[in-house]
Amino acid sequence: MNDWVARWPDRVVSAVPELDHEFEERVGDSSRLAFGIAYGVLRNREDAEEIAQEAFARAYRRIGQLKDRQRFRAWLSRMTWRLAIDRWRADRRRQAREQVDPGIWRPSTEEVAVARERARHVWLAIDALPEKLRIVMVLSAIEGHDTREVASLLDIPEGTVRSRLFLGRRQLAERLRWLVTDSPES
Amino acid sequence: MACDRFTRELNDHAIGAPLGSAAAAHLATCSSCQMRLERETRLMAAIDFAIDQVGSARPASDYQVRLREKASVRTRSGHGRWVLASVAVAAAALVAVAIDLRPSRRPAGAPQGTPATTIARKAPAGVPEAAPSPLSAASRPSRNTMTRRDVRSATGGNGRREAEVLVPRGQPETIARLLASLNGQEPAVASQLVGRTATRADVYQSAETPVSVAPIRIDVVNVPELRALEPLRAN
Repeated sequence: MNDWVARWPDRVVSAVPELDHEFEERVGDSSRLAFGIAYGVLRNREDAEEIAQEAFARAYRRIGQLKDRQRFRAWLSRMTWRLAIDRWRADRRRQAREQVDPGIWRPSTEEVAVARERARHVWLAIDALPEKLRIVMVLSAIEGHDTREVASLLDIPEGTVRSRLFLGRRQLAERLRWLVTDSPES
Repeated sequence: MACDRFTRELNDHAIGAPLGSAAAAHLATCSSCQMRLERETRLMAAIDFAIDQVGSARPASDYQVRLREKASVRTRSGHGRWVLASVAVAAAALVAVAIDLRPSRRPAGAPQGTPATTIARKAPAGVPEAAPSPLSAASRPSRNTMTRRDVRSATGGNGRREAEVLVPRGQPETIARLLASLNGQEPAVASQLVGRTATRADVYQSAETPVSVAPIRIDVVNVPELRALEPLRAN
C-alpha cells in the first residue's frame, strides 16, 4: 500500500509534461487561426486576442477530452467561434463603440471614408447572416484558407463549403445592393 | 421584359456562377444588363475587399509571445491542481480539528495528563448520525483516510485543551495558517479555501465522508506547534 502511495504522485506528474509540451506546440500552430476567427466576428484586435487566449485556456483545460489530436485545429475553431459569438452577442457596448470610433468615422480622404463606410456595412450584413453561412465566410476570409481548409475545420464536404459561400455572398449582395445603386459612381 | 428573365442569373454570375448560353447571348446585346452586371461585379468587389481587410488583420506583434507565456504559465499551474486538492483536504481536516477543540471527553475520573483518548464518532446536536463509512475500521488502509475518529484530543498539565491532527505530509504550515484563520484572525480565508462558510453539519459531513487523501502521506502534528506559525493572510 505504502509503495503504491509513494509511486502515485510520480505517475500523475509524469503524464502532465507530455501534455504541456504538446499543447505549447499547438499554441504555435493555431494562434493565428484563433485570432482570425475571433477578429472575423468581433473586428476589434484587443477583443480578438482576448477571445483567442480564452479559447486556448479552455482548450488546455479540456485537451484530455479530445480523442483525435489531429482534429485540434477544428476543435479549437469551434471553441473560438462559440466564444467570439457569445462575446459578440453579449457585448452591447461594442455597437456603441463603433458609432463613435474615430478610426471608422474620421475620414482622411473622401475615398477612404467611403471605403470604410462600405466595409462597415458589409460586416454588419455578414453579422446578420445565418450562423452556418457566417462561419464559412469568416473562415474563408482568413488569409491562406481555401475551401479544403475550411471544409476540414468545419468537418463538412468541400461542396458544402462552396455552396454556403455562394449563398452567403448572394445574401450579402441582396442586402447591400443599395450601396452601389445609391452611390454616385453607379 | 427579356432582361427580367436573366436578372437572377446575371447577379449570380457576378458572384461566380457560370452564365447560361441564353443569358450570355442576351448580355452581349443588352446594354442595360451589361450595366447591371458591371454594378453587381463592383458590389462583389466591395464586399470581397471588406472581407479581405478583416481577413488580413494581424494581432499585435507581441501576441504570440503573450499567448505562449500565458500557455506556459497555465501549464505550470496545471501541477497546482494537486496542491489545491491537498489544500482542500487539509482544510477539511482542519475544520474537523477546530470543531473538536471542546471540553475533553475523557472518562470521568481519569487523572490529568493521561494519554489522549480517541473521540467517539458522534454527530453534533441536530445532525443525524452519518452512515458508517464504506471503509470499515478493519479494511481502512491505515491512516491514509482521514475521518473524525482520527482527531485526538488531550488535556495538558495546565488544563488547556491540546490536540493532535493528522495532516498531509509537508503541509503543516498550510494547516497552521488555516487554523489561525479559523481562530478568528482571517476567517474569510479559511471559508474561501474550504469553498464556503462551513457549518457544524458541513464539517461533520465532510469529516465523516472518506476524504480522498489516500495518495498523501500523513503526519501527526501538535496543534500548539501549528499555532506558533504565521496566520494566512488574504491578499
